[in-house]
Amino acid sequence: MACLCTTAANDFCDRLASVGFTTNLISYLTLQLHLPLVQASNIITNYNGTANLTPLIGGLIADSFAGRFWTITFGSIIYQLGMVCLTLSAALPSLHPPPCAKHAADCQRASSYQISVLYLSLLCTSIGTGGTRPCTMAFGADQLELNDAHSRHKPKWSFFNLYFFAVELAKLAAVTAVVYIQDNVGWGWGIGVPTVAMVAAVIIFVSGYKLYIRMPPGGSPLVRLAQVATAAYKKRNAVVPDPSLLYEDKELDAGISTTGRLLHTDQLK
Amino acid sequence: MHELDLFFHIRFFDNAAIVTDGDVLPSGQPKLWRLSTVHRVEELKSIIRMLPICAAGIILVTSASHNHSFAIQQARTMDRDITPHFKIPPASMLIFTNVGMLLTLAFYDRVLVRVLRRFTGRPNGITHLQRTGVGLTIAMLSNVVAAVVERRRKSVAAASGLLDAPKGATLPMSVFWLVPQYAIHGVANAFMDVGRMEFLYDQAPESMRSTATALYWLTFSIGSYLGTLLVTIVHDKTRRSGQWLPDNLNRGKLDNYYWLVVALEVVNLVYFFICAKYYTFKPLEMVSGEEVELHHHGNGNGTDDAKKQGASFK
Repeated sequence: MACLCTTAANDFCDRLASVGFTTNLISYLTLQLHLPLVQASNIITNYNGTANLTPLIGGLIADSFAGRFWTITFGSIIYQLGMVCLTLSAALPSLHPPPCAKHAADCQRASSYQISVLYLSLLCTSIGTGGTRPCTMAFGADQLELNDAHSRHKPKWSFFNLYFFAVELAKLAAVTAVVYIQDNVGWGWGIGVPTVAMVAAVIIFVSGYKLYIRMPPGGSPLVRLAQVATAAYKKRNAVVPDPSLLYEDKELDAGISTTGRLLHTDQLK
Repeated sequence: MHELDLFFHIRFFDNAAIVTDGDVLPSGQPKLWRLSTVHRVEELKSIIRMLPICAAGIILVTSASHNHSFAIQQARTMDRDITPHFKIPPASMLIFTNVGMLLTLAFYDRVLVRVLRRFTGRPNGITHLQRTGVGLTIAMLSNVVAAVVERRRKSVAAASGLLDAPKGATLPMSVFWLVPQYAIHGVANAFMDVGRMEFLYDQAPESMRSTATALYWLTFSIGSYLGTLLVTIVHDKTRRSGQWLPDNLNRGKLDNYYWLVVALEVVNLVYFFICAKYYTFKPLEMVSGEEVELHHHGNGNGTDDAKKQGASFK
């Protein structure tokens, strides 16, 4: 169960960091970098788009060869680099435009150099989420599943209710404490605090290395799907015989069907 | 066979499991690019069947994306005093989504499931798909409320002569008017997000769970990009005839934008009901203690299960 605690602690800090960093991004873009509202809104939705596209690649890497532990670790470190970069851009005067004069109509917008620093850090964090997002929840479920052999056939629904509850608590801390710091203390600290939380998350997670049950990756699911599609295409003109004559090989599928094999559907009549 | 399976020609993939000459090496190993087991074929079919259901989450993400941008800008113009010395930061309005979700999750897990179980007899109260449908409906309400509130905010701005007030001016309208739209969205997430994740975890083939979890995040990705597209199109098309989304929201028509989102959500809801009605659940071997034994020790004996499955489909 100790392993579950470090996974949970990691996930908590991870969410605190990422939510604390993205929640108030609109204010950072409009009030510090002086970008127009629509451009700022689009930067955020584009960022969220990219940050949630990369998990598809991360998930495949984890399922195919790297395993969930290493995917999470590398993802977190790259994420960390992005946050350090953003903290610097908020803290160093040369990396953001000077503040507006009060009631001034024209504030100086961020230069293209300053914008590219922003993009670089957003890029790093979105690559990072590719490693963490697809794996943390499944990694947590792995710990539960193997610790308690009897629980693995029970529905996991209350696990998910609990998981989302914990995630929401972390977000709550982020939108209260972190946003308060950003609006009242300053952006250097406001982004610095989540960055430190992320460092803690990585250290806690890696320190649990020996405690975890690390499931060996089961081979690329994408390759398997491609094989099925290719085989079906090659035999596109064949006539489907009686379903009981379709090919089965329990030994071959043993590693990918530990909780039961899938049955043939599409029974006619 | 289900209508939706017919629609997607899903039976086509069965061809991969037809044994023809030369598919199996003399050693007994199949050539995997020419022959697949039924299990592998069904893995692919499960994933294909899940995709339309997953896609229903996209609009939900799009409809929530303005809570991180436009709604925060709305809050910035409103009276944010909680005590004479403390103003709630605009971005902290998201608290109410979190609190809404936390309370709903606790209520759902501790109370609602037990009550529902009595009526439906299901251990989970309602199915994952029903939970998702409820979430989609509630999310729609959130945007209806948002549109009504924004209309009121603008009329307050007009009435108090603050339509073109400088940045930082405060309207005589409490920021707590925005609480319902944020909170209802949290309630919707408690149904929708968890419902979707349960569905993916439950219906994904076991060896593809990281990849299936990525599908969940993928809907966030597509939903966000769609948000960009929607904002850009609206901004572009309304440039001449009174902008909907100018920097000064008081002069814009953000409420129209919210109604547009509501319309999209209605279409999405109809789409989801159709997909859910025709969804084929993953047909897993019944795994009781005994059958697991049989499964582990009966390698190479494929006919037992085929018979069992035949019986279960009558």
